[in-house]
Amino acid sequence: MSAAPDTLDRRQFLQGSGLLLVAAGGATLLRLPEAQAQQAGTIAAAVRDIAPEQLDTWITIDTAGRVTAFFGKMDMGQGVDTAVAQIVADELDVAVDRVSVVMGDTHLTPNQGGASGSSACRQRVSAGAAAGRTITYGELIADGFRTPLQWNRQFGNGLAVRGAAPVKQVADYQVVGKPVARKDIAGKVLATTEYCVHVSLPGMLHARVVRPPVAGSVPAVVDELHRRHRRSAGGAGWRLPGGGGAR
Amino acid sequence: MAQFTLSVDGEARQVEAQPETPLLYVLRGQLGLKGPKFGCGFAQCGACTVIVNGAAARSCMLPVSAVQDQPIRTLDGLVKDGKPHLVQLAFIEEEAAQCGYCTNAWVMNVVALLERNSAPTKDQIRQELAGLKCRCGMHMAILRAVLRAAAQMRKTAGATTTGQA
Repeated sequence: MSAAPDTLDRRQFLQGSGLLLVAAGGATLLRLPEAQAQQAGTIAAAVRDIAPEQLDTWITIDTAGRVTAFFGKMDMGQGVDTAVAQIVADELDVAVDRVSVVMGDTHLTPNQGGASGSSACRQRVSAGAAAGRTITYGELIADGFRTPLQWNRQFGNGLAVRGAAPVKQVADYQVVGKPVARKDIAGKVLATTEYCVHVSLPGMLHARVVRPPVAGSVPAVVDELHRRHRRSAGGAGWRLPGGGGAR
Repeated sequence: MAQFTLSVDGEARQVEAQPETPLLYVLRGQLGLKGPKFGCGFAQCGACTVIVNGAAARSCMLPVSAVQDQPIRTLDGLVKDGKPHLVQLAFIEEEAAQCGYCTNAWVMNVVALLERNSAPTKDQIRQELAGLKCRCGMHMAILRAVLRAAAQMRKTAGATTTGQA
């Protein structure tokens, strides 16, 4: 209970029947029941307590040594999940294929704000450059992510982690900076990746932009398409778009 | 509303829709397919592409009443018996996607192209795919994937012409 994770032998640390959740600050080691641990692979079905100051909010290690990193930004095709997996693999000295990344699900990850401006991966560099020295991840999270911090405060999810673990020197990287196969491509090519547009809720309406055929057009009529749509299943009642409502 | 019988990925599917309803809405809304995407809705981007009678077609502007009893193939149906199509494998190997929203367009158009021309030149590939939109800018990786897929399909052409791995 009071032992800091880094004082435990790794094998001893991973013993036990359940998923170990590592908590920062030598505070707690939590064990999930086996049934829950088995869901680690499909952990998206779960809801977790998210406390930014607790390490288990960010990283969990299961009994097979698989690492799950929880990351509160959303990838839009940049491959951030792969990049984060590389960083985690290097810092934990595990093979990158043991690391999976759960991101952008506010049931499971802290809300770290938007991912614009390369903010998902770039800020370590910019914060380090600004400080003129190597900075820790704890510092990075606490002080480097100024914009996300403000964003999080605005939405009531204050990130205020202050860690002390030193980051690796660049020369010691084994995974970062090396080509690693992206994890997200197959699902996109095989039509198994979920997109927002796949979400379907009872009674849900679809909206779409209807653009006029020429500049300067003004709407002439607004017809009953939306009502027709409501009666049909999954949008089957839409008319062909043809700009008929504009002149 | 009217009843239509569609042949989708080799299966007869009964759907109920107004005749002018775009095929895309039926495929996604009623049949639950995830491959074809709604992009522009004006047949200008290609994200909704399916293969009808062997030719790439933009399903967002294609009335469901126009494709009855014509074989429709979708990205969802390219995987057969757990095996991805060689074009899909080539896209994965070349990592020819970023956000993946338009990937359906490229894969389906490439499948249609390679089925009628197993050895297209780079210029022919560019010409064939010129009307598709990818804002992530994956075009060069896609070009490599097409060349890779064509080579693989030619290699296996002696045994089969279906393109399955």
